[in-house]
Amino acid sequence: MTDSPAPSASSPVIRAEGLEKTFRDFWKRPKVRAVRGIGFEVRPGEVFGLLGPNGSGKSTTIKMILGLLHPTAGSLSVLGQPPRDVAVKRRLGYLPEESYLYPYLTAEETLHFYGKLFDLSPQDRRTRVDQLLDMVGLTQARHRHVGEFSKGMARRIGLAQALINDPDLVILDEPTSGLDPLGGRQVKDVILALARRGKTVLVSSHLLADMEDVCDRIAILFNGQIQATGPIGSLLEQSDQIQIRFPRPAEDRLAAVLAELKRAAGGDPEVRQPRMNLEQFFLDTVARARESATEVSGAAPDGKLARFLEHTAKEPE
Amino acid sequence: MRAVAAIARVSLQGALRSRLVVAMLGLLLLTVVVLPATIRGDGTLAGYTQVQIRYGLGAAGMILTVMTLWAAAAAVSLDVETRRVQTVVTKPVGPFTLWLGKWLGLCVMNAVLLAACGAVVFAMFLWKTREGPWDPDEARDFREHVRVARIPVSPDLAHLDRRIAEEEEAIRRDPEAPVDVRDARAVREVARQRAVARELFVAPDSEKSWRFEPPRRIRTDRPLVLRFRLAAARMSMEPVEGAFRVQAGPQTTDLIPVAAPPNRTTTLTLPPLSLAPGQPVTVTFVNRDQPAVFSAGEGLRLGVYETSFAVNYGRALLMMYVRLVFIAALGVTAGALFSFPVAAFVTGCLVFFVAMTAFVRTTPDAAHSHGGPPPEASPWEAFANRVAGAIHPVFVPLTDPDYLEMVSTGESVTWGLALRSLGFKIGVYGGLLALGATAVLRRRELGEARA
Repeated sequence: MTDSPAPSASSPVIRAEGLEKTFRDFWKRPKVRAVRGIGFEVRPGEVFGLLGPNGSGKSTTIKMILGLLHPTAGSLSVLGQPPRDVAVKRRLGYLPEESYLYPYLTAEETLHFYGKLFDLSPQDRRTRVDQLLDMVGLTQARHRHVGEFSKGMARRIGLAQALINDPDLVILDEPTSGLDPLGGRQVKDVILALARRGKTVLVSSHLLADMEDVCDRIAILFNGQIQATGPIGSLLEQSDQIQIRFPRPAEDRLAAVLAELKRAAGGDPEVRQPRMNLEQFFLDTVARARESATEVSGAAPDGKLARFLEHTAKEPE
Repeated sequence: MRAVAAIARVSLQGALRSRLVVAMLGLLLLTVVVLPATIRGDGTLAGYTQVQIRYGLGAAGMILTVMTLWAAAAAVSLDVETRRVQTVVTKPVGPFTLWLGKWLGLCVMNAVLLAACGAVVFAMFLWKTREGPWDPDEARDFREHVRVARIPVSPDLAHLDRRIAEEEEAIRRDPEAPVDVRDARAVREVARQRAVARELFVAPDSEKSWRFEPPRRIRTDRPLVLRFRLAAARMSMEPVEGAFRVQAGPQTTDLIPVAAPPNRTTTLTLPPLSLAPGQPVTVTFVNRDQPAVFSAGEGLRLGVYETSFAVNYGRALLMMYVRLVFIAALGVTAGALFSFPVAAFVTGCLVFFVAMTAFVRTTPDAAHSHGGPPPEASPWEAFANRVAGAIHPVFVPLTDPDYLEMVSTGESVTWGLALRSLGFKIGVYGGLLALGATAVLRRRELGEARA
């Protein structure tokens, strides 16, 4: 899928400069300034996160990148082309904030429909549909109408349709919204797997923990403006402190170590009993329960990454 | 093409699974089966044909029109409002592909529904008009006059140009002229009507001949028919007695006596004549009675066999289908521009304007036809007439003759008529609508639902 010229390794997959969006009313009077002169770049092969509270301009920015909205000012290029270029869309996958799918189609028909829009051959389509349904855990529900799906199942089929064309750039708007922790973990695994294979992922969310798990770089939006941007590690790093973890020593030994640390660092060290991450605890519990269960209804959360996404993935160009 | 077919298929699946198609099919079949049974006909085969085809199939056509208008207006607008369009246009799907897919889905749906209706009506027609229960003479006339497709040929009136010019001059000089003499088009029309009326007038105890030029490609083994209608004399409704004589090359028929009541169409099957392709036919009326004038327009026509009733019926269905798919194109385009209710309203208004086009233009003319000078038009009437005159040429190519009436009276719905309809409604106007919708969808922001 190289209809449009691929950006070189150094050129960004998405480049926004001075991007603005003002919504107007029927009489063309400015109503809301949703995005106010933002600029950022998304580089090939990275997972870039747009963070922000509701109404901060994340979805508006994503819709401009997709060509669904026209910028009021500024410039925007996607894969080196204007966002509305049809050739760009061949290399793009999009999961909207809600699952805007045809409710009267089954899960399988839905994926075949979107596969046809990419002009995939029937054989390719069948293979990809089977693998994607397996990946999102909906193989058992393949003949159920999407309109009957729970929100989580609809998100899963939405994710599957976003990947049907093995896109070079994946744009995910609130991908874990409405998903249970298993589904959320699975989506994050998919994002990481895509990134490992050189795909570029732009993800927007207000669920900060999810973003922390997957993003290489982030931009924090508030009131239509970027408040902070950079690699997630350097943004969160507290360089004036360190954390040391080791097996719990005997009380007298611990007191001695703390006294030594206090003397060396010149302040009171904080001692905490580490706790397991709740997400990890939940996942472990469900995994144990699943081992003893014979049948589950709804989405089966153990799908592997679709094989076609592994096989055909390319290194960043 | 795969994307177009996919969008069309999804539209169809939506219609099928929402049970729209099934409900419509049920309603349509109920209409074409039950409605004719509720209309009291005149008990003749010709009358039954009128009821079954003109009213039964006509009512089905109206239901299909409303359904198509509704479904077409919803096709794009509801996808935009529910934001489903966002997952489609972010794929490599251009605006034209989207429009074409939606339109083709409606075309297939209409084809299925209309074919089902058409087949049921035709089967009922064949069963009801079968040989057996009917009087043999009536059945023979029915076969010759109704269950056929004949091309009507009007008398050659090209030689009237000089007479029309004289009438125009007379009207301009007349202080009591029935039209505004500054309106050249109206003067010309009234002059033409007067010249034609004089041409179709036959004085008592005299005769008059008219020349007909049948089409070159005709079936010479089938008899010609003569259809005529006399206008009523002011004082008498008594039948006019006279006789017709027909001549083609060296062959001349005997006089065929007629006693024709005024204001009623009479059909005569002419004795066999061996017609060569392109050979003109001369018809002479010998008037042995009161003054006679044949009605203008359809007052005197030669019917030339063209094809079978079944083919003619198929062409009428084709014209009906073309009309429906044009409405579909109109609705899908309106849906690309407006929200669903507005799109449905706009489409409905435009369909109404097209249907009213002929009426809009004939009303001012008809108002002047009662003699005397025309009343002074108010500024509003003058403005309305000017607007009607301006939009008239836009809508005229979209108007059709009453093809169901034509089929049910044995008149040929020619391929030329069907192809003209196809060319204008799909080729020209459909193409323009597609271009318009493409331009709109290219500019429109589809990322937000329009309230």
